Formats: sequence, structure tokens, C-alpha cells
Amino acid sequence: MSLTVTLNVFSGRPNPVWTLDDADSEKLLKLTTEAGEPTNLKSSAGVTALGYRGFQVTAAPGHPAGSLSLHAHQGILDAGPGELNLISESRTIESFLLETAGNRIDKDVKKHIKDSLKAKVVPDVQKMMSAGAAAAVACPVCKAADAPVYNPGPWNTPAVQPHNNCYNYANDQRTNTFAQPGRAHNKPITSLSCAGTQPSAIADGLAAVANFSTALAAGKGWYVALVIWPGNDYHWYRQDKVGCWSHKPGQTAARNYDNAGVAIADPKTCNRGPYTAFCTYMKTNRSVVIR
Amino acid sequence: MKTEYNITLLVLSGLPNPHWLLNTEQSAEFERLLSTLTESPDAPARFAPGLGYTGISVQFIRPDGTAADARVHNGIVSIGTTTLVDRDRRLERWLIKSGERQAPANLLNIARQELS
Repeated sequence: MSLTVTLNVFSGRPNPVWTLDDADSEKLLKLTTEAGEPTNLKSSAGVTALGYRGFQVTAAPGHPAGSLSLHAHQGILDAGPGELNLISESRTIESFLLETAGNRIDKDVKKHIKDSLKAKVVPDVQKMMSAGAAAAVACPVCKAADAPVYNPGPWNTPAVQPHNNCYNYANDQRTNTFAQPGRAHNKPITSLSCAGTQPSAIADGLAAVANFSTALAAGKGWYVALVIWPGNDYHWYRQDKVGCWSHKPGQTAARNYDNAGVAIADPKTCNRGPYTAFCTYMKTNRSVVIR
Repeated sequence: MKTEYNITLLVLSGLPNPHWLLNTEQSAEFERLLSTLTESPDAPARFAPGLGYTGISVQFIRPDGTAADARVHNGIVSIGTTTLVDRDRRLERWLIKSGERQAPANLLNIARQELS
């Protein structure tokens, strides 16, 4: 099923609209998984009055990729409210979409857009301030041979992000079920406390550990951490290959910084917002079954 | 058929967020409130902390089946590339109130505390 592209460039005239064929639709969705670094910057499209203001890509809710509304402009890919934007100097998506326009836009308009695409994405100072550029901390050494590489792209797509939560992400399993500890083993959470949640994770195959400094050989999994917002919710972090930790808050984007925008050296001490109770580090592995 | 509005309180991580549909009367009031908002002269970059209450998502489901999303938080309403100003967070307060009979009171109160 195809995607619809709107080029936001005109003021008085209707903007050009065209449909991507299946091959180009697939190529675009693949590009969105490689679209760059997370950022809290928005493009200026909403406030820029005239000229090129980016590409809008939409799909109906019945589309295999799910309901989709992407906006690409100034190197920033905006998947809509609640989604983490991605930023890239290469502006690959905009260039690709421009090519798909073919002869639907005249050469002067095409030149205007090509010139716009040559502009620097954002000043470096703004980029430094972006949330994706998590404030630097010294990452601990990762002792787990199987630890996942931090690669949020495949998690932060419209088809995946809303259907996978922190538990999916910590276990590195995209089940699209908003997985719950214990659900796969008929051992549901009994209360939103450490004691009420940890046994459910153990039923799924996770195991509590005292710290994350013991070496885990290949096949032995990687470290995760369970925290609790007492009475309200639970949350998980995972340690990535780089040594720092990352997480995916609910249906929002996966990220590698805490609630203060700082890289996470240890989930026990990072800013966790209302998830004030640190329960335990645990280890998980590829054999763990979650649902 | 009219546009349906599916509201999601963005507050949880592990458990699913509470969500509800506006009824006919609420939908009309939502549309009225939305129509009173003005476009923002500026669209500053904003840091989204991720954990805890982070706003309200409104999914518009149109009669033709197409959908669009808006995010309402902290005085800003983002709809696609458009940014509107929600002065005094009036629309956000109203949306929280709209869930009173359908969302857990403790979670609505968490959102209210963030607004106070």
C-alpha cells in the first residue's frame, strides 16, 4: 500500500501531492529507521512563512506500517506529537522525496528546494543543546558479551514505537504487545511495588543480580534494571554495549538519557522522575519469553 | 459521521496509558476550544523528559478513516507542523477533566499536580 507525499512550498497555489509506489514507500520507511540522532529540536516549518517548508508523508490507519504522519524538513524527521524527532546533516529523506517528485514540480521549484537542502541543518550550538546529545558522563565498562548495541532507530518507527514498552526494550524483543512481566507465564504483577513486580519478571526467565560488574559470557545475556513508581507503574532500563544505559518510556521513543537529559551511567543513581524506588539489577537473555 | 477524538494521558511506561473517547458533547467543546487557540509566533525546541506525566495525545479519527495526532502539553499544542498556544493550559486542563469518568483518578491527579 502506498504513501502520500505533500511538498509544502507554495502559499497561494495548492502544494504538489503525489503517491509513492510500493517500492519507494518501502525505501522511505527503511530510511526513517536510519534517519539520524534523536533530538528535541523541531524544524522551523511551522513558523517559516514562504518557500520550502518540508515534505509531509501520510498513510491511512489501515496501512501495514500503521497510521503515519511524518514531516521531514531541515534535516529533522518529525513523526508527530509524542514521538522523538531525529536529526541528520545528510538530509537523505528530503533528497529522496524530492527525487520521487519526478516532473510533478517544475525545475525552478526543484532548484529552490535543492538550494535549501544545501543549508546547514542547525547551528552547532543548538545541536549541542538537543536532548539526543545526552550530556556526557563516563560510561562504565560493559561486562556482558551479549549486550545490545544502542540503536534506537528500529524502535522509534510508527509501526513499532507505540506497541512496545520499556519491558520490550530492556529484553530487546519487539513483540508489539506492550509486553507485561509475567504475562507469558501466567504470573501477572500483583502490585506496583518491587515485591509485586519482580517475581513476574523472574517467571519470564530474568534473574536478579547484585550489580552489573560481573562478566557475562556469550549466551549468558545482559543487564537490565527494574524501578518502580510506587503504586502507579514500573519501568526498565538496559545496559548497552557502550556501557551506558538506555530505556524506552512507554509508548514514547527509546533514548539513552535520563529525565534530566544526562547519559545514564547507572540507573540506580540517574534522574528517574517519579520512579523513585530502585528495585534491583537483573540479567536477561535471548531465551527469555515475554508477551 | 463526525470526527472521533481518542485521548491518551501520557504518564506511564510499563503499564498501558489510560485512554478514552470524547462523547459528542465533549467533541463539540474540544473543537470549540481548539478553534480559539492562536498559532505560536515561535516554536522553541523543547526537552521531553520521558518519565512521568508528559502531556496528552489526541488522535483525530476522521469519517474517511484518516487520522492525525495532536500533542497537548505545557501551553503548547502541536498538530503536525503547526504549533498553537494553549494559554493558561486551558485546553490541557479541560482534556484531563474529560477523562474523569474513564481514567483512574490517581493518574488524572498526577497530571493535575503537574499543572498546578
